[in-house]
Amino acid sequence: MPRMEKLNLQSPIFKVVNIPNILFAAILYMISLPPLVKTKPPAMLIIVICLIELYFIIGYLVQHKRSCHDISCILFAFFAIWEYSSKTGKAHSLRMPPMENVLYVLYSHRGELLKGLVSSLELMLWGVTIALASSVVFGILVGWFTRPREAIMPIVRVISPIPALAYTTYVVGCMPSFKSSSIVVIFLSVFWPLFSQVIRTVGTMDKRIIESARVMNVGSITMIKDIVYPYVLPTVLRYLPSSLSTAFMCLTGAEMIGASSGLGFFIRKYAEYANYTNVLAGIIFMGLVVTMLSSLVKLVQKKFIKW
Amino acid sequence: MGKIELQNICFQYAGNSSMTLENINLSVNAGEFVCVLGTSGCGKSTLLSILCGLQRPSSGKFLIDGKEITGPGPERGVVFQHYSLFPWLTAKENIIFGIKQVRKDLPKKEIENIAQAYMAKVGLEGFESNKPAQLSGGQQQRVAIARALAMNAEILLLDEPFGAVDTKNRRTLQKLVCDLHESEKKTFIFVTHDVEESILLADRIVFMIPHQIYQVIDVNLPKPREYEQIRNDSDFVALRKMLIDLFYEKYKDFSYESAEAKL
Repeated sequence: MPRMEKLNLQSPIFKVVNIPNILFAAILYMISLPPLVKTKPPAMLIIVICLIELYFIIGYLVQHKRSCHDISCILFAFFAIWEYSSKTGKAHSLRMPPMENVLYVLYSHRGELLKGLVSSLELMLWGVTIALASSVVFGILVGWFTRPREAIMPIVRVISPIPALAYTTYVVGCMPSFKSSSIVVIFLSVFWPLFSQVIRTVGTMDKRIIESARVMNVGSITMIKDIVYPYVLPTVLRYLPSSLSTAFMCLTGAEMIGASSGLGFFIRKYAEYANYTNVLAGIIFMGLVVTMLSSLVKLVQKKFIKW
Repeated sequence: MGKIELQNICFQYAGNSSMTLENINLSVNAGEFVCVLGTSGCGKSTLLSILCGLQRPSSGKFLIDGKEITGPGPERGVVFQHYSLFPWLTAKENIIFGIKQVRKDLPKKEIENIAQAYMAKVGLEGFESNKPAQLSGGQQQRVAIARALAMNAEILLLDEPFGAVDTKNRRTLQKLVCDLHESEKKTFIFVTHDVEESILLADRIVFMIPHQIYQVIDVNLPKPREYEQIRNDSDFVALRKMLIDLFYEKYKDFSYESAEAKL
């Protein structure tokens, strides 16, 4: 009887023959099959799966990160199932349009998407900046002084857990313009959670740090500007990615109710025409935008917070 | 300059029924090195926090050079056991921050030069841009000492500054403190529960029992003292024995562990 050789996963053959590569080849093969309904050129889809393959090659085969292998598997499986369903006619072509078409929209409607993005980001910039600045300034002041802290904290505890989406319809209905109402919605979604977090951080600040400053005869303004503020900063940056996602969610909500621009508007507009190809493209685009924003914040965190 | 006078100081923490300090009388001359010795909980850190100005005595007078003191002041520099430094500033920035609190009028360049000079004085050249988290415990305490000195304080108050530093580094730091006391001619008040440390450093040892000063002991060993040289010196051994006996005798009802741990 032949002796069973132990499978060596490190052998060079597995650099080529592995699940992500098999799925990658399968998707390419399926793309080459003739479609049942008319589809757009598959160039965007090919670019996207090639990018995933590149990520896999660099991450797993070069840097040996197991997570890259697993993530590529999941992404490829998702694309493979989608492509298989549409190529075999198992999926309804209107409700689950071919992948080729959805990704092609990112190219064909790039102008409209970018315009929507700029419009959404502009509102985000205003809302988030005002919310950040005021939550840090007021949070520090309220947190530092015992009496306002004890008076305001219980109230903040009631308000901050209310999902900002709950205000959205009300604010959009009340404010004079869509721009102002979106800014208010974004402000509310970022301000309350961050405000309460800053108060809590200042209130529970390490006593030893405060005493170190006090023995140096530090005045009130220096104390707040040079001691409390830098102490609070990492907390603010730590909470910022989740604040940004919440803000984006509320903005999208607002845009779907009462806007004539922005990414939320893009999605709602095409949903009304039952153009789910564009709706899905809008959703994917939004996912990319939020991910990029969060990565940007992480980059800032890495650069500025080193303690 | 830098003479400290404590007259009938009593201190009681809010909500505590008993006194933490009772009738503390102590006079420290300018340029003198005084160690406050006692076990944990005897009130020595409370005494130091009064000297820092973080606590105000419930009664009694605290004078520096004849002037009554009611809070922190630029004539005193403080080094705590932990977290003396601000973790978001580099070693040098921490020193610069300290200098800026007392010498606002100095030009930026000069402040930097002073900071650099004191970094060198405590043997930390090359570590200027390290954040406290990137420094060892001993190095952090060096920076804290450098900051207190750079602020040009007349009096240095140190609260068990080497309590969290390993034995080898502690010896080096003790030598550094000794040298700095010789060269800077400042008044040092150094709280410790380490008997040998107190003999090595002090001109006088203030031995505390709970709530009060039990005895003030002169240390007449010639300075500068090197641990390796004086550890077998008969005066050193006798003084150490006396202090340990005091610990045992006076802390009968207390746990001896912390005293024993140091031997």
